[in-house]
Amino acid sequence: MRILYYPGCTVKATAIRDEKASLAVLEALGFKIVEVEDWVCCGAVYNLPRDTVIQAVAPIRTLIRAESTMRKHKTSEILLTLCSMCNHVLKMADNMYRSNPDVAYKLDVYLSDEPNYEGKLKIMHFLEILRDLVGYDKIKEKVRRSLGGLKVASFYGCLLLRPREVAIDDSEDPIVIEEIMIQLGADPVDYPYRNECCGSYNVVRTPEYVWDRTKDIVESANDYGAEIIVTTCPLCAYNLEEGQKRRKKELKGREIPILYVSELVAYAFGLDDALEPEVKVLIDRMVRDRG
Amino acid sequence: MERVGVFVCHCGRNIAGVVDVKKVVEEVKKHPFVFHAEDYKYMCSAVGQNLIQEAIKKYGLTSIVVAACSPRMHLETFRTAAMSAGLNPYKVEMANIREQNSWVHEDPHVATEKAIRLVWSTINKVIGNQPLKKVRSNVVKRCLVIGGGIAGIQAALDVANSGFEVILVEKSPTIGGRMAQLSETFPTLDCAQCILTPKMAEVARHPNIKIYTLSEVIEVNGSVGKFKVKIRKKPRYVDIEACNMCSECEKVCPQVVLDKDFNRSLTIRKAIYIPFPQAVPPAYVIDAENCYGVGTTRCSECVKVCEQNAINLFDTEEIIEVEVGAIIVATGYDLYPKEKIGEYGYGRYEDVIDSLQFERLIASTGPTGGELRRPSDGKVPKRVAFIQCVGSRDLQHLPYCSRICCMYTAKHAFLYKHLVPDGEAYVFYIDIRAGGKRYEEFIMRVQTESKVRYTRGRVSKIVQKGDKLIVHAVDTITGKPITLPVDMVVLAMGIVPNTKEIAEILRIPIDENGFLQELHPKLAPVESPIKGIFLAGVAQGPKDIQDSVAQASAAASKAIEILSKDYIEKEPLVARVNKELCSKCGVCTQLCPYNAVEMTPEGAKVIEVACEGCGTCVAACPSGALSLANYEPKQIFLMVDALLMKIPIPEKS
Repeated sequence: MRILYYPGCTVKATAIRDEKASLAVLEALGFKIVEVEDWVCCGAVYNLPRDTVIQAVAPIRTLIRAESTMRKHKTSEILLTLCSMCNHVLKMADNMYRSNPDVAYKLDVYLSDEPNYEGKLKIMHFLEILRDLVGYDKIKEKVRRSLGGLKVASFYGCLLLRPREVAIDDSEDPIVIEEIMIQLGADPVDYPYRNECCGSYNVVRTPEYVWDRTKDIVESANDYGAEIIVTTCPLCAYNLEEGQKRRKKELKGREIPILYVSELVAYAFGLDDALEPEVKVLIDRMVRDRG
Repeated sequence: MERVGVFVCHCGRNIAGVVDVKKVVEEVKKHPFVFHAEDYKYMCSAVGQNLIQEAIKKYGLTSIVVAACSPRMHLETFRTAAMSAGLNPYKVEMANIREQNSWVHEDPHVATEKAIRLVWSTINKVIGNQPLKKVRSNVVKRCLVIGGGIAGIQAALDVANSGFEVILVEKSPTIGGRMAQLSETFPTLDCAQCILTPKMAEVARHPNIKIYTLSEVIEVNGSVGKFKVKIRKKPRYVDIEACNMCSECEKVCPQVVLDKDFNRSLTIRKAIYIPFPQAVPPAYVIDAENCYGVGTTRCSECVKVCEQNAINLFDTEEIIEVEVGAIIVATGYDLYPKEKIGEYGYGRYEDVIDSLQFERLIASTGPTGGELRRPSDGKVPKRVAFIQCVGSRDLQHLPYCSRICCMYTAKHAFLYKHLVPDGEAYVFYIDIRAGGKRYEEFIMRVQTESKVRYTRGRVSKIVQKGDKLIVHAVDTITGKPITLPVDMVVLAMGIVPNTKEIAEILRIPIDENGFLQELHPKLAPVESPIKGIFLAGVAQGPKDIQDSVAQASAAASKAIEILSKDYIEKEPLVARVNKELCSKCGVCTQLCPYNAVEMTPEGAKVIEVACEGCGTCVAACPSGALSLANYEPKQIFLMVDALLMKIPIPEKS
């Protein structure tokens, strides 16, 4: 199946590990990935005011170009996203365009240098593709190396699950990452902070607040026995990692490594080339230590 | 030859402000059957009615059309007036030119044209009307009360005290309902059991009341005055008359199960048990799902020790059929399940409990004998958070206010402070709704005398950390986030009605939230849209004990109004069969929602007292053998013609 792919800025910069692993996993599952031509930044944060359309301009421009790419390369209507924030912003803009004709008209006028958006795309996050298009059974079949009961704490963050109309799973009791981890032979831990916000962009303005939050998250995961935390959001990954460095004293040696979901899947599938050498070594060691 | 009189009402400026009533009179006079037409300011007034009566006599009118408000408002008025002038009431019809015209249109030109068409079409109908007589049927002097909570108990007692028989049906093993589970009641802090059990005992000994516990109404047919009811009585396995409550059976019963119902999973009981000591009827009951004796294996330890020989493990289900004249529905409520509120722990944390669990924990009859101990480790909680509006006033759960939670939370916090004087009570609220008599004073007392800390703000999440629960909230007055470690959390869960099945069985509508729909929200709050069925308690809408009791008494008096009559008069607008056309296919008998059509060797036959005139059978009859009195196809076609035909349209003024 040929699917469209929107990387977004972060995935091409700090989260390049996620891209490498995710695309390798999807290719191993038989997908042909076609990157959207001339994509632009999604805008990163979706403004909530409803009387302005400016926040939808950038994402809709990308969606228009995704539709052109779809026609040119004869792909399916599925548009893959990896970053939680890109996924959120694209879906919110798509929703707004489809549900409100006035907004759609304004955007069409504003974006008159592009063809009109036809609203034919189906935006899907990496996790949704694994769950809805691949299926848990098929993931299990592909596993070459079991994770051997590794205690994994899933960290969803907020944007994958909120608001409800763009959520990939139940906002209060999500299960998709845990289900995938079970297929890989890992043992997911249920801890209360898994669907909390990491502090997000406050890291720019009030970083101390974010370090406190990430400390609480890591501490709670640790209390429930987690050996590793996985996420799909580059900003969550950054905040969790940096927060542990900044609160090293308070954590008293209870730090937990942060990885992308895709990296554990790639490891279990035996796709070593898709992993950074130090990540492979880390997982190898953790799985081996469990015996 | 028909002689029709038309009377157009101004309704002050309600109609005349938009519709040109003079023009309407002028135009309808052109109808070939209209002999007389006039307008008047208020047709429903004594003068207006007199106008109609005079005209009937003066012009020898045979049919009347009153163009005014909805027939729901005044059809009876005009029919009665016409009757006293010697006209058959079914020769009077109303054209609704207010609700369906002047109130919804602004353009006088369009509204006037529409009024003319509506009146013209009603004239076309009334000339085909047959003079009919009301159908009379006898009244069965017995009342069915569904639900044995405080509302059902009050209604049953009121009806029984007026000298009528009452059948009280309760699905659990005892009457008493939710009120029996409560510790104290707001705002007076009477002990719930102390004020409820005398009423339960009164029901038990009342000669006019027959109680069926472990029973459910499964079928209701017929109509006001004579409902035919089927009740399924599940086996109790214990003879109510013989059981002397010695409790020997309970001692030997080897099966220990969670007490899910009465004590809300806070304690255990045996498979043979009594819900609480004052249960009515006072007899043990076997929980068949958990008993070793009722299934294929036969344990029968209880049978061996019962000196009264009261236990029969071979007891079976019974179907009871009764006829009643009126029905009162008081099926009560459940709490909205706390498992649906993910952010408060999805029922994962043992010390996050719902409001009824808290009632049981502080009740002297409860699992801890009235000592407050938290479920997880039995410690006395030194700091408790009470969260209001859980599930209620939340668009993701219940959009409505459950009305009782502000008051019972205040009561909970108050009682907590009395049980644990050195404990701290925090209440999180959106706003306090204390609209009843002495309610506001009670809230003030709790806030000042008991030093309960009220914080305006919602709780976003509860997190367990060690043996503490961390409450994350926001104080919306200071605008600051709060992190509060507590020992126990009490969720003031919203309430949801138990109406789904009973509404289907009785064919009464429910509203968007599942509450039974009353006939009119202000003027007929205890009547259901089906005659002879009345509503009481939370089944109709959230309410506290005071209001439930008041509504139950109101429903009882409505039921008594019917039971005290010797016969019921019913509208004669029923289906009729043309036997020559009937092919006896039986479609009508299957479709009739009221079981009012039966098949005889001569063809379909309509039971007039049961027929509600809904027209389902008429529409379905493949051979056109059925028709509805005064709604004959010919009349309807003539009405449609008038609505669509080209009639002279008044000029724009």
